[in-house]
Amino acid sequence: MIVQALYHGGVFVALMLLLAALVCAGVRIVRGPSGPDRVVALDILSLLGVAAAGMAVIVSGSTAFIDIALGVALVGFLASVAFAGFIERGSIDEEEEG
Amino acid sequence: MMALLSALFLVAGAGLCLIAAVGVLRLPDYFMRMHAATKAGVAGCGLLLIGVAFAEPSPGMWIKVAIAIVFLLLTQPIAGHLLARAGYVAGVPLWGGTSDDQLKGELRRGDFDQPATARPRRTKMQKGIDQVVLGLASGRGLETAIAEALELARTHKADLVGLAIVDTKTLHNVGPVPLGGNHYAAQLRNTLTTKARHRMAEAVQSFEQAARAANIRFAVSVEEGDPVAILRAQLDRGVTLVLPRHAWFDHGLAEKQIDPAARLARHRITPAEASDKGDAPIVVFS
Repeated sequence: MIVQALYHGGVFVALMLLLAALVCAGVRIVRGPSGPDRVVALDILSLLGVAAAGMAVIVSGSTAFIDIALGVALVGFLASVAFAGFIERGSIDEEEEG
Repeated sequence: MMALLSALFLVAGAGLCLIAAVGVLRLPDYFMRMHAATKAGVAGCGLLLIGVAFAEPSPGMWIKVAIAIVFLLLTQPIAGHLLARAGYVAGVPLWGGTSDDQLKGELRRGDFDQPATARPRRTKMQKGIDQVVLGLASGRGLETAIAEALELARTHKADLVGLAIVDTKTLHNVGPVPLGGNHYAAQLRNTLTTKARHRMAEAVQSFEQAARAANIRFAVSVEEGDPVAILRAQLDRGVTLVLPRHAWFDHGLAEKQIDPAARLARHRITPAEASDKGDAPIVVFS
């Protein structure tokens, strides 16, 4: 009985902590101040997406959500790599001498 | 028992995720934020997924969670490394208190044009202008730059100085010469410098005419050497620099056309407003 209450309390606290984390990352995305800063915020947002998919397994009781966590992790990694390439290439102008 | 372990891991994981997110929100520069995001993020996610596996225990679940964690551990360090490298190469500014930049000289850093929000609003300080320094480079945009400088000098009752520079640093760089070509290279340098001096004199003349017509007292100073260093030496309290939008101090003689705004940005001299419209001059407040 008390174990059940503790478990449900733990799940609730974890969900609230994740929500706060999402808000923090969201604020960083809005605030910037530069593109790369937003990309880093997006990176942690995708990690939080993995965590949220994990929580969805518990909340909904459907274990299929763990596959979604894997998928989100994969997509987040690819997005980070693509953005990194974009930042790196977009920044250097062709003119060599300074 | 499993339920308690699960709750423990879930709270620990979510807490670490929150710490990572707060780090991303609060840490002062890009690289610190990146470090918070990847390190704490992976640990938090991993712990949380373990908690999920404790909540719904089955062999399949454990395997999937293990795969997810291994995948995160493999990919996130790579993503973090790539982002840090990209940011450094892009020239994202380091935190002001950084004492040691170990990548200096190892990786090339590009220009990083700061967005308008990050730049301090320098236009508000216009009332403190004591001296207007006008860069005299012959080429497109010189006329508007002269007009702007005269206007500034009149409205702020500031001293007006026409600063004519010959960019010998660029003009002396005539590229590789074949064996025995040194004589020719020296001759080429001389011709270019002489031509540049002539064009500079024309620019000075048009400036003098305009200033006389506007009935403003002025001074002219002539320099040769590295324009950026000379301009930087001018930047003092209360000094405003006005430069033509499209003309640099090679006076149009360098092989490649030089964009003054890009050149200044590379040496971390930031104009007040980056309006790219037409021939509007570049204005730098000190």
